[in-house]
Amino acid sequence: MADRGRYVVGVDVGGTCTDCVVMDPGGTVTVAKTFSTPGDFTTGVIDAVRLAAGDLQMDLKTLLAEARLFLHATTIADNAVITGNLTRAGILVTHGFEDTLRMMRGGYAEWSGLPEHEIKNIPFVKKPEPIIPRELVRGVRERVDASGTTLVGLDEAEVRAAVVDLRAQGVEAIGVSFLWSFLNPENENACATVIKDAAPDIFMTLSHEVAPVIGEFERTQSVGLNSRIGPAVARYLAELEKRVADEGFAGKPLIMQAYGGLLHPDAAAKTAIGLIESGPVSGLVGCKALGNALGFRDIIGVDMGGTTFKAGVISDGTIDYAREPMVARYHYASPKMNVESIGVAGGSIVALEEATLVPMVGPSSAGADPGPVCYDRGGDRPTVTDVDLLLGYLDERFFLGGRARLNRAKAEAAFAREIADPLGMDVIDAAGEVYRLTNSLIYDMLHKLTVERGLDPREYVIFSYGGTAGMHVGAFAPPLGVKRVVVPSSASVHGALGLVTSDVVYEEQLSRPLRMPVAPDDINTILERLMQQGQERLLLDGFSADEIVFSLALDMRYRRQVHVVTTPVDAQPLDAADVEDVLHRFERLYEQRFGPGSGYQEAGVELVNFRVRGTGVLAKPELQPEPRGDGTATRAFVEEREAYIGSARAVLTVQCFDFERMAPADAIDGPALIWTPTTTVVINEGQTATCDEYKSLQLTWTP
Amino acid sequence: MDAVAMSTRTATKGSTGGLDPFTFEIIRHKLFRVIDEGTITLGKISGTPSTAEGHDVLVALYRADGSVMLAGVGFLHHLLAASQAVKEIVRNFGEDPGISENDTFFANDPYTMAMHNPDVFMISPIHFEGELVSWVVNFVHVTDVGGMEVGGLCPSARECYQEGFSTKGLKIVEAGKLRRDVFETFLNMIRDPGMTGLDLKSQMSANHVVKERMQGIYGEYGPDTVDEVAARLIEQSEDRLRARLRELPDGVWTARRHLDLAGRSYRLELAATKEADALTYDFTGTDPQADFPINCQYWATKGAALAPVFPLLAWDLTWNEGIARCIDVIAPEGTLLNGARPAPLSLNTVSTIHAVNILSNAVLSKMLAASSYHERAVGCWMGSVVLSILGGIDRHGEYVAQVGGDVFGMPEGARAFADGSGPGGHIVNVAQKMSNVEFEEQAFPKLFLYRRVVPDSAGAGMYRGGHAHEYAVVPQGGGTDSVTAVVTPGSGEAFPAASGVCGGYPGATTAHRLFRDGRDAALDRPPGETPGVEDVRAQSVTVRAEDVLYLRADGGGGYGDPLDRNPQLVCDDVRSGLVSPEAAEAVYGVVIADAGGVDAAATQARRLTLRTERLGREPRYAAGFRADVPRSDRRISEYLQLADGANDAVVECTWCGDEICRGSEAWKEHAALRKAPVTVVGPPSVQSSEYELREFFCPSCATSLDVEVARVDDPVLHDRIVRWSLPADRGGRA
Repeated sequence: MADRGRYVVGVDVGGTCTDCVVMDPGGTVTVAKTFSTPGDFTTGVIDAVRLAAGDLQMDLKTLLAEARLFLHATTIADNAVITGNLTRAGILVTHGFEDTLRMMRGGYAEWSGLPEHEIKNIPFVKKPEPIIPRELVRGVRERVDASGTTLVGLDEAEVRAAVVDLRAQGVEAIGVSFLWSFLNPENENACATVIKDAAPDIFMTLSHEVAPVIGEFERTQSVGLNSRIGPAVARYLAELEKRVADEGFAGKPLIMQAYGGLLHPDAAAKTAIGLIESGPVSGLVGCKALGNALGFRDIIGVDMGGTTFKAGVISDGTIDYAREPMVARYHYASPKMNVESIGVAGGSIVALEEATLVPMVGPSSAGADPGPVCYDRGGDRPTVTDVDLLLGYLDERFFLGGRARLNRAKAEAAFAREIADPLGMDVIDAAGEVYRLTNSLIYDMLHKLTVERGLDPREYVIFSYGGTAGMHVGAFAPPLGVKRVVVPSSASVHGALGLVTSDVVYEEQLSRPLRMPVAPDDINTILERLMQQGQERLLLDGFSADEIVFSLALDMRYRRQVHVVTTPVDAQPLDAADVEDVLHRFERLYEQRFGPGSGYQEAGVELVNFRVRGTGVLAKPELQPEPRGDGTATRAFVEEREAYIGSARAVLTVQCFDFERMAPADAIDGPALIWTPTTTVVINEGQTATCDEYKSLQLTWTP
Repeated sequence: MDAVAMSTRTATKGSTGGLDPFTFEIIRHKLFRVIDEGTITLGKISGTPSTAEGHDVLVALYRADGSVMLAGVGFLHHLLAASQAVKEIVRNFGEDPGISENDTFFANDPYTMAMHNPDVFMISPIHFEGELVSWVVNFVHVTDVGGMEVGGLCPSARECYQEGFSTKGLKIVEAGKLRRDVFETFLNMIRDPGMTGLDLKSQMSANHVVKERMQGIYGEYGPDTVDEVAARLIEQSEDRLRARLRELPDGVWTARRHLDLAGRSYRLELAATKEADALTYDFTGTDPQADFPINCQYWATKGAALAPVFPLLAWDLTWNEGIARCIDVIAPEGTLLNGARPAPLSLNTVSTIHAVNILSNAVLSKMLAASSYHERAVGCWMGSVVLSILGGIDRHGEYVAQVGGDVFGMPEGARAFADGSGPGGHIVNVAQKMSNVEFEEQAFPKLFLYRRVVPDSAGAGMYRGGHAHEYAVVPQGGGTDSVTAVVTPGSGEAFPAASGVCGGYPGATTAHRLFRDGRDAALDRPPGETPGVEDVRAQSVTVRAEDVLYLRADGGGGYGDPLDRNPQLVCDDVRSGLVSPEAAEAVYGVVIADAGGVDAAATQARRLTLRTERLGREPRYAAGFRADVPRSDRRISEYLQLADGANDAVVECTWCGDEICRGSEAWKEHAALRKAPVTVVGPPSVQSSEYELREFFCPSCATSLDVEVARVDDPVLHDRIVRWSLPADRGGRA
């Protein structure tokens, strides 16, 4: 893409905070953080950029005029679904299947992501409301079969009547989801023509465009979700474009997608569901970029904040796809990187089960309001953050860089009342045990994310970010077998770092079930078509052919299995030997995941989905290393303090250091605490924390 | 911290015994994770939608003696059978050929462990440092076992020897190595071996992974500590369930279920006696074993009876042996529920076992309705199993079998505070889900004409049950023009099978039809009144290219009186097409105004008319709204309680406050009884004059107190509460 200016600006809008990262031409990074401004999030965006400009001794307009790229991640889509602030939308479906959305594939409880204790309480389990109410679903006569043959063509008059009728019901968006449309989009396309004619200004979503994959429930729900959040996302992106243009930015902002790449705002508005969970994915992209600089290609990214512990995996530089993306209990089918979460974080409530006095951490959370007891905002149930305070990890006088004070006495009283006293334990002993239980729950989750999917954590490095992670990571990482922990200096604005290291990506996917053996050309034709599609879009975006790279993959399975294994494809076009290679690769990946001997070729193998990831590489400076210090951390020493050290299962007197005063190559041996502006990093006995040249803290130990 | 010091401090508190509560919780969570991982492995590898999506599976850990250590969320009625499987393996093969490290047994004998032949158990001992310390067992309903009919359910079988392969135990893995001779022998006898081969692979992998993880946990915490946790978990569950049983009233609750199958009717009877902290289910009165494949062995019956206990009474407990210890099951030998060879069994899971689930659900709900846990009472979920198994040649020329995924979306019963949803799940297996139409059409040469909700099919009530769905399929795109369909078992047509609770009405009946030459040029048109319609219940039929196979589930049971339903909820249902305006008026007494809202005045008048019709006279209490009747602490149900009368305790209606009879009398004998043909419920199906609907109304206000579906010669069912024990009101929300 043409060079317009010198700076790369990334702004990541979260529910609470808006983060900005600016990378200068030398690769040096400046960060800024401000509060988000719900109602009009663009104000927070501009605030954050203005703050960063100030740090760079520039004014806002100058920075934006000098900006080459403006990259953006937003939670606006997630918020719309979670708060139910959704556009009124209608949908056209194949006649006879009008109830697909509200039937929700029947059994739903476990599947809708409820925790086990809710699933077991069946009389109290409830389906979510259908994403489009049945009154706004219209069946139209048409049918394509499993081979892609049109059995019944579209009756345009019927479609027109349905559109007029939905219009009269006050819908702002209309979606279309026909059976097998991803194999043969003829009827959906004909339908689109009628809609454009009958309701030219309506926000329209076609299932074969937004989710061209097998499975009509998830595809239709994708259309429903996209229809209901699309208009608001489109309005927001238009407003953002205007705001940054008014402030001097000459280009178009690029918008982060949950598949870990950027899109032009027009394309992003059309596939609004692609924005869902793009923020956490952006954090993973940041891990990948920093990992590249540090020489790590196998990374577990963990983000532990106030309400959830989130984690994702990067293997050999590639982030995993999510298998069944879901938002607020609605499944959808859009390419998305996998980020899993559990309700174990700073705000998680610590309680004893009434009947047995068995201790429990989470999943209920004190959230941000009232928050932990120590925040002194009315919370009276002890949380993990209260435990961390009692263990000596948080400085009650200087929390969040002095922006808040913590009430230790209250936290202690609540913890004694709710936990320690009923168990007949000393407060610190009990707090230490809660810490051990918390870390064990996190361990179990990371075990599930790695070992249970055939990945060996001993080959991975944990990247730890979010306000609570640093206090726990030194305890839960070693038992997993990982060899190292990296706490990035960008930990507090890690998603924004991901933005400024991202590229423009079109993720093309298509379901076309084919049974092996398949003629190479049958595969090549589909892959080429998808590559062609991606190429056209990237060329339109201004990339030249040599700035475009593709990566290809096939989702494969043993015949008639439900679940698939994504198998990378290196060659294109493929010849017979390449197809054979792909088959063997599938079998290897399969056995890696499910254990030796689990493969069963006699069942036959099927190709299900074709995936093409077309990347338009944005020229960006490399992250800039900083010069080494003298290797001694004494200049960063703050004080000695009593703190619970997990490895000793005891309270020890430890040295505390100020991260801001550390320089690359400084090393601190545990037990110790390192205070950073957003978190505390706890160094256990036998662990060493070294500041690297990108100002990350790297924790190492002898296994 | 010093673990020893801590354990002395905690010994007096809690019920984790000598174990420190944190280590206890850490190990407990790890055990749950292990089961979950095993279950996920089954779903990912298996090719069968009933495993991957229907969740017709179970993974459980058993202690060395075979007692249930911990079970996952799966088909709960298999829990005890699997426990039995471990005991049987030890008994039969412990000496010869012996049980060694890294062996796995394959077993499916329905007379010792499995419910029916297609339920294949994989049973693996877990050794630690050479010693057998526990067991992992999983079960999958495999695609075929080589019986008379495809899919393992054989409606034509008249003795068990016609129902396919069965074994009490074969070592399929010996010292860690798959025995190909055993594996191939089994696959050689069945249809669609590719699919079933994957099923077996998934089962072996699941056990392998569970074993590996358990050995890790044993390595870290020691087998004694882990077993201690298991033992404590079992004790905790037993203690807590017994404590909960003590909170419920003492008494006897009864339920009855007929199965209208293959041209005749089978009767199942249950009387549940709750006394102090023990619950006894007595199935005496159930019909003798039959030469039709619906018989079960004792463990299947006990497991099925126990299954609804988990979600209804033990939702917040660990699901293990401790729960089973609180419940005794009596099933007389020689009956459908405790049969002997050669009685055939292959349809039992979709008939008798399912009926036992329903009976258990019914008595528990009535018991709960009489207690402080009354919010947990539910109407009947999934009154009948409506299932088709298809076999045919796909476009590659290969034989494929498919268990239709629609069976995993049967409607729910109403709750005491909310409507059931439909299609929903199964109260004894919530994790299931229906397959997508596209998935089914890709895997099998067929085409759905429609799959949609049936309006007015839900059992009516203050809260209604879930609505049923109906679907029609035709052969499409296969290697041959026709396919075979095993339609089974075909119950719930002659009468509505999903009963309501507390005066709620049953859901609509099922339908199983073949429309010969019904496939019209217009694919989208339902078969409707096509001539040539055939009743295809409990048989294997050929579906030709011109034919349409049509199935309809039954609606979920309602809760409370439909005339007591909030009119706005009825109006919402009319708007979303779930309830017709006619049914709104006829069943709920709600009149919809022209503008689409509730016509309040007309509704009030209509409801009074309906109450008058119920009694055949004007009700004595005609105020049109529920009176403010003080709750005594002796609930009987939503509308009945025992209260202090002038001289004696009396049964009173809590809708109007009037006395129905003396406390010592059977209230049904004093209620206004209306007998109606079963046709009054929902869209009609096969009708039979053998059955009737018995509506019991309050003689004063005409509120619906109970609705029985019965054979005309059945005696009226009576429950009897002997003693209440009443703590403060509690909903039981988690």
